[in-house]
Amino acid sequence: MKYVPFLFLTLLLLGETSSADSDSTRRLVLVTCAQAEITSLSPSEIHQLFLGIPVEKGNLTLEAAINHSDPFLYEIFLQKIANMSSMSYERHLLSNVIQVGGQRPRVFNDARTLINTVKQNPGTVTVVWDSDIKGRSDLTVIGEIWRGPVD
Amino acid sequence: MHKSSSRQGLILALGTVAALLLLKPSMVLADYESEFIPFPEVTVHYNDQDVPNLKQHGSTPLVDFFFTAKYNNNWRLLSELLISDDERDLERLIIGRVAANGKQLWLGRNHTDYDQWNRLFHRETYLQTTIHRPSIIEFEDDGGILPGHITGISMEDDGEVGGRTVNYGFTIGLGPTLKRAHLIPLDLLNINQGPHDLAVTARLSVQTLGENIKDSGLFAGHTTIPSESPGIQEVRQTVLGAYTNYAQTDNLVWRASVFYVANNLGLSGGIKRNESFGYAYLQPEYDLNPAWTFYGRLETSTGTSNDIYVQQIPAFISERSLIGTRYQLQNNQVIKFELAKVDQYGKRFVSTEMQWSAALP
Repeated sequence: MKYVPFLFLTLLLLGETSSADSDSTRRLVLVTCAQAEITSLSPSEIHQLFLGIPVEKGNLTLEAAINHSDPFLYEIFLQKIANMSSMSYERHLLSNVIQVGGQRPRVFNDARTLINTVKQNPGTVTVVWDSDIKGRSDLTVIGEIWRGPVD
Repeated sequence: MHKSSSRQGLILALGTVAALLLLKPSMVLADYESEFIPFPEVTVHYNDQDVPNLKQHGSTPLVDFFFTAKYNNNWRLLSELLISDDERDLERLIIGRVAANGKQLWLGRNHTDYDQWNRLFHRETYLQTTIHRPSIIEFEDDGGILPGHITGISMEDDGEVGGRTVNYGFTIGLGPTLKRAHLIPLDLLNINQGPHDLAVTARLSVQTLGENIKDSGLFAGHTTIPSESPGIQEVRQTVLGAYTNYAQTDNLVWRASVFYVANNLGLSGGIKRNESFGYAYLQPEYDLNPAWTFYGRLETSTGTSNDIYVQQIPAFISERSLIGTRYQLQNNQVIKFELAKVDQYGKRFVSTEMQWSAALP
């Protein structure tokens, strides 16, 4: 019995540590509307999608939406998905629309508007912080792009 | 560049611009999306010699109005209307279907499958690293000696082979006519100009995605070119070639092409004459950082100096060596400086050029 307070304190500290861990880490995730019933995309499909090349999944033609709401997020996106600088990426998207027409991926400066657009348009795929979609069942995470400490 | 004196053409051109502008608000319609991108440019040049047919110094403003619409995900319309002080040309006007699996089918006036420039940049010099295209792939009204446009049907498809994308394209339709020292493609703004005959071009390439589309390929074509040049009734032209974009490192890209062109000339009096020539260029591009790119290009040809067909188009540049730099001002503006040694109109001269170009807004 004399060990109970010690055990309780240990469990309390462990809980604190684990909570501090999740609070100090954030993830950049790839999301789409839950209605789209997409569970994953291959790295090649993700790369093609954000380069403006049509990708088909099931009966849906996927469309990329670009999250411009956070410069740090966009920088990670350029490094991990586009694999090029901001200038090269914009030049590439322009070149692509000149070749096959259509429209360049839409750019959103506000995360809330972006998330609502993804929710309302099955087939639209974007990159967001996991904290921005916490507890939402109308969106599905289909991949993790990056994980790192909160600034 | 040739002068289109047709007032009707100008009215149609301006009407098209107005229509494109009016179409813009309809982006909100369901299943319909569009983009309207004007590409303005101004090129200032100075030549160290006074070459006949060229101004020794001057500036050339130009705008290419690009418009594209997408309906129901797959149906597309693409158009490019080019307006300069001496030219109004509906460069491209195609309607077609683009499937998610890469299959494309187009109908209208499109660029040919020769080399890589048409597919990557079309008329948009803003997207090019250099100010000018290599002379062999230059557009008809700028001294090009190969068909740059075909009005007809084109298709493109691709497939995965060993982790790489194999892409192929094919175009068939009406090619250009030879007159007034130029090749003149079918003009959609003045459709009754000149006779036009069959042209076919094809391309097969292997591509990988990346910062630059890295691709290498083969291309070929055959065109029957009716002629109104004195002494020449018809030219049957066959083109064979190969090209590559070789990204040696993240910063260094080599663009290169070789061409073999065989012309079967139908001369006055029923005389036939076979001629051929070769052409090649090599263009290294080095990205110092995302804003600055340094480049050079060496263009050379063999058999062009005594070729009767090439002599009909004196604006063709048979040799050129150049160095230059491209500076990306913002995400939508570029300034380029170029110093070139040129062989054109039978003269060798040095040309200095500066160009500002943009993709608006």
